Amino acid sequence: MNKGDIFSRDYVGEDQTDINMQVSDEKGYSSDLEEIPEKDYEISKPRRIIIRGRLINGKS
Amino acid sequence: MKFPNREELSLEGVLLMVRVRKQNINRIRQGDIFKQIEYIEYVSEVNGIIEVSKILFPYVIVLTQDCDLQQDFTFRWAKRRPKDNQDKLLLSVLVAPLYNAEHVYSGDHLSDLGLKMQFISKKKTPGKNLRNNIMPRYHYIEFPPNIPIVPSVIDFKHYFSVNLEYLKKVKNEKFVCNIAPLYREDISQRFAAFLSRIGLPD
Repeated sequence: MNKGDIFSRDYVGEDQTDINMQVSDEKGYSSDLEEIPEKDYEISKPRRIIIRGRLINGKS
Repeated sequence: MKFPNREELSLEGVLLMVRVRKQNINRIRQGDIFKQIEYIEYVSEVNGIIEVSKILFPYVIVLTQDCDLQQDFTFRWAKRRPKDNQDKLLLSVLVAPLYNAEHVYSGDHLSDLGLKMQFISKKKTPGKNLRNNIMPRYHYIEFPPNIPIVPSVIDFKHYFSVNLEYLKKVKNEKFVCNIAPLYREDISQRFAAFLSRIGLPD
């Protein structure tokens, strides 16, 4: 990838699908975004969160 | 006659500490600092399984020009907003992460993402250059005692965009403070200089 590159993508369109999302971090622990422990006077480090969910009606 | 440098002055708490405003007004401003902001890395779908990968940044600072944010607010949410066009709307807000300075010195501020960054000796010239804001990539900030953020470093190389509607939605919950004028202009000018630097061949 170079500075000045121009990208395009096909328009997929809107497709509303019900999904059942499960939240876990990279280590597989269940987590809740609002329950991340944080020290009051210290910046914690950025961390990655992976959310996986299965399409309930099987459509993409 | 030798003038004290920035770090010497900082011993008096004169220069390194920024001034902030804690008032959370109804619009997003340049220099706003928000906590726990998400950056979406990718969204994929394979065989009906949707996967979303995101990075949760403890703190970010808004870098988008304040006049653009003001105009976007006027056109998007103000009571007497123009009805005939949406010419001034923004698509996203430009932000950069703040890292704990102590983690930056040791180069492990992104260790939870599996990344090892360059070691910057705190007590030697590289560390002093970092605190004196001589290194173009970084901007060192110390906050007043009433702001619960440790000395931090903005990494201009790690800028990213945040959806404006999302940021407005979580604003009241995640707003920490706003870097006061002059200090925010200092940050903005240094970011623009970093972004527009010209890489010459070796």
